[in-house]
Amino acid sequence: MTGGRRVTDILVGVLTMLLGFALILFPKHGLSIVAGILSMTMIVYGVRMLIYYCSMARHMVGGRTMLYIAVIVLDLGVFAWTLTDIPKIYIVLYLAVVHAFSGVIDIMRGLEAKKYKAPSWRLSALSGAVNLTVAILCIVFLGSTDMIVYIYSAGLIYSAVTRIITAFRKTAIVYIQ
Amino acid sequence: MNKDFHYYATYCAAYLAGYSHEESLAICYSAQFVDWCTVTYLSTLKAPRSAATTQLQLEMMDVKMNAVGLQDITRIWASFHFLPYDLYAQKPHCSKRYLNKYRLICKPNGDLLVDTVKLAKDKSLQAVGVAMHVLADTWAHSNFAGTPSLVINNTDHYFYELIPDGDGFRERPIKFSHNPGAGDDIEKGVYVNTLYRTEENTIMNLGHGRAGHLPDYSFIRYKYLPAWGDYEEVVKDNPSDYYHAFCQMVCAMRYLRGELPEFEKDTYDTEKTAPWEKEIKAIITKRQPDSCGDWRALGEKLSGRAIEDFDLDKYRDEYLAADKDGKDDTFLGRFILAALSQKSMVTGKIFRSGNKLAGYSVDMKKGFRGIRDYRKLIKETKGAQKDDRR
Repeated sequence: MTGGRRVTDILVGVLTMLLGFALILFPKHGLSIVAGILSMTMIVYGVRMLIYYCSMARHMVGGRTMLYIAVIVLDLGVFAWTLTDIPKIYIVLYLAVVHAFSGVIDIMRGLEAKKYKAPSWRLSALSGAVNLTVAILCIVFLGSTDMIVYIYSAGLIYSAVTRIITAFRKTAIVYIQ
Repeated sequence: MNKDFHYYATYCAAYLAGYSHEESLAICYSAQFVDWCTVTYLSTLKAPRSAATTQLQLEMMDVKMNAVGLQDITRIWASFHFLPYDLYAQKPHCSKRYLNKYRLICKPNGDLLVDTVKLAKDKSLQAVGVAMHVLADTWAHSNFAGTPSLVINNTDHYFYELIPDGDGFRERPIKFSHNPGAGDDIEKGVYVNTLYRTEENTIMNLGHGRAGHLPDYSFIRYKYLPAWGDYEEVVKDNPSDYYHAFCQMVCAMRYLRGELPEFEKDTYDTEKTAPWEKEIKAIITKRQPDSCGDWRALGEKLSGRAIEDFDLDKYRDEYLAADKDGKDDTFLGRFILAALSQKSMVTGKIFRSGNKLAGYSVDMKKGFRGIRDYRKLIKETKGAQKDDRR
């Protein structure tokens, strides 16, 4: 990883963490901010897909599909951004599905590691259990806007911490002449 | 390739190249162990994790697809399973980002293959086994890259099996399913592959995942449109490729034993294999998902000795029981050194070509930098250099 990339990752990590804490401190406005983030994510994804098409996928057999996807996602993102009120249920479902999926993968990973008697299985299984619990909490606290914002914020902070840790990881490989 | 070729066929090639039964067993064990030496397995031995030569499916799903995660995957898969053919390949009007992936496409007889075989010269039998795995895979895995990439590794609906019919071949469309539990149905032409995902760097687009296990079956011939191929049809003739791989292994191992003065690209030992050509080709072309039984029978016929089945934990206790200083002299210790050496060499070559997809490479002249695991390799290399001077 280059020095510039490390600095960028640390900065993005710190900003994401600050956003997570801000949402926890001001949960009343949290839901609209979360909805805004989700729409913005789609817009950014659409733009990235367009860049991807121009720099990579146009050389690929069937690559024009990427162009169509980029345009559709970008359009959806812009449309969602213009809406003032996204139904809360969509946000809850989004969070529940993301955490449930991560939870299942972590538990499968833990079971496989256990099969090979690797000590890491406990950490994977624990991470899976936490993710599944969060997914269940999303559904249980469907009526509580604050709780949904807390759960989303916790996800943001977790992602920020892993990004910062990754930025500090050693990546150099030894080559002997 | 599967156990049938990496273990039993490699035994046959090693024996034909002149190795003894015991040496051939050590070589083919090491060649097959490349498909089992994961970070998870190494962690159970408290061995250097950087020596991993493959990844479990769930290990890959665990990897974050950022620059570091991508480098971790590429280092392993490009070094051991999809050796790049031409690190300086050109394609007009392409971005550097595209070219970095394009240059990792695996094909037989590249410069890195010669480097791989020569790296194993005067080294352990485990190093010979590692090199033979890499060599064999250049044939089976050609046209795919050992890095996640949609634009390189994707395939589409244009996929036909060429089934021998009289003097020619008849075409049968290949159907792909995404249910790993279902398994391949060779008779109906239904094969399992990975899901189509539009993300460039998802593990679904690693290596030949999108073509399923077709490259791993010696009997099959097929034609398709590789994603990087500008709509030009590629015909993959596995029976021919597998036979070439076998003859090239014999040639490479004769060089490693000192019987041949040089190992060069595109050379095959058809002389040593000639008496067995008919039998080898019969095994390779037989329509079956697993040829272990046939290759094993041939190996036992060649040496007149029983070939034990591959046992993952065969050398585990020896490694665990050895003290800290003695671990490098165990079977697995020597395998680990061979794996670190191969990974260092390939990563270094990729890095020096201006491509950072496999990670960073540092010269050791100014002291040690980088991952601690590689101290072992430095120690070993310095020891070998001292011996050479003597």
